[in-house]
Amino acid sequence: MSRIIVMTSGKGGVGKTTCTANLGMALAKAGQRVAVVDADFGLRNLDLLLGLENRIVYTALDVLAGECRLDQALVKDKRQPNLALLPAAQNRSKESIKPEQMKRLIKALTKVYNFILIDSPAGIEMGFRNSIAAAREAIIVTTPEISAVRDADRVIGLLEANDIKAVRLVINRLRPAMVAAEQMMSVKDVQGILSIPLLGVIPDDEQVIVSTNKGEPLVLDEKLSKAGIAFTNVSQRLQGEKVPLMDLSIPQDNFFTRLKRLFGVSS
Amino acid sequence: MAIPIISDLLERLFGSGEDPHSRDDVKRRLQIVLAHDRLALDPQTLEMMRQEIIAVVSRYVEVDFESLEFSLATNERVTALTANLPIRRIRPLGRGPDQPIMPEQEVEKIELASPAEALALDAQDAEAALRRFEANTRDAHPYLDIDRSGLDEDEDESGTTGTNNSVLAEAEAATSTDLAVGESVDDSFRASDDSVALLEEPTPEIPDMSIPEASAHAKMQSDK
Repeated sequence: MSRIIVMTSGKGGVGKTTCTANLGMALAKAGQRVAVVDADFGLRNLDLLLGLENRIVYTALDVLAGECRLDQALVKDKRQPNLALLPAAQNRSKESIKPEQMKRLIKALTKVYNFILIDSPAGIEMGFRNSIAAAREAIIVTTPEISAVRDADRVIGLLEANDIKAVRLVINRLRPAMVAAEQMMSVKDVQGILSIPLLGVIPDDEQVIVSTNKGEPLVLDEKLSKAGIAFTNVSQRLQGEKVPLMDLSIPQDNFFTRLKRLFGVSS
Repeated sequence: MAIPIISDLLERLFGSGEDPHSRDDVKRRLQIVLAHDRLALDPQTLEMMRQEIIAVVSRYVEVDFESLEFSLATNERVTALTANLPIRRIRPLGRGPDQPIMPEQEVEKIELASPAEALALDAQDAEAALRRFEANTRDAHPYLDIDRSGLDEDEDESGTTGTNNSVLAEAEAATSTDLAVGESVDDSFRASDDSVALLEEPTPEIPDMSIPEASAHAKMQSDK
């Protein structure tokens, strides 16, 4: 049976699309047949993060309008043939598709793919409702910030109300040094507040921006960055493997390390 | 020029002393905001509930208005309303607002004992008894009198005016209808006629959880 997972957050800009691209790619690398679905009609971005923006011919709307077959709209990744993208229409609004239509598309995808990741738009309106319509599981992406956690909590409530019970948490953009300085909520704080199982923690990493510039998900790198390792770990946990949380603790900041830093000695 | 460099050097060596931990702030603020989000109860309803709880408890015990606390807290996605109502003392039986003491009975008793003495009772004595009764009920229920501050020139109440008090008085009046049906003997309940409309249409300007301070404020003023 295929796994249908919606990636959602409530708040925008917390890294839903980055997580979808990396998780999709990591699952495909692990041999799973993966379809990533952009449910952000009107503001699509998943194609950019995957570097597939120039290969889009048809979109999900064209499939629904009967103008093409589903396989014609699917963009197969050349780097990783197990991965395909179902693009959203960019020139239409979120109201241009209904939950029932979304269900039809996803149902069709389950015949070929065993992982279907749906990248939800921000907000809790029509676009969100479309993206959760067919989902059986959800991954909540949040950052350790007050507004992101509040919105995540709201979305968790809405998912429960829509009978999506397998809801797991990814904490994105954690800054261990700030947590150590008590200036940011810890993983435990956020998980304690939201009270849902933790799927993974992604450290804040400049490489994320570098990878989006290039349109190459981090998990494709030869030498994985910290965030790249974290995304790979999340994909393994999603497949049922027991992978311990990455050690994100920073070296002890004491008198001697400060003395070293002061005199330019790298530790 | 040299001093900033030295202080900067010291700061980098020893850390910047007292660092306020914003992590605690964000956790505290989130706990409160999520408790309200999850409950999805509007502030007006919450405030009415708060006032009614205070009114019911106040019938039996005297609550310390300066330190009472109402808070919503969530744990494991379950929300709980916590009311912390410090008790000053148990109300003496029969002295609650629903069982007013009748000064007339006292007078009648004396009449029964000796009609001659009863005749000797002058208006002054009766008035003293009435005043004692009023002082008694007022002391037992200080907050009920706030809305009367403009009407009678009681020395206790002369200082209590302002929006804080009126908001409290309105809310209190609203609760007293429910609690004192058919027992409006005490003039403390005079407000109940106006309050029916209030119950049906809660005034939108009643703030959310800021009333504990308001009531404490009112109490402090009336104590003067």
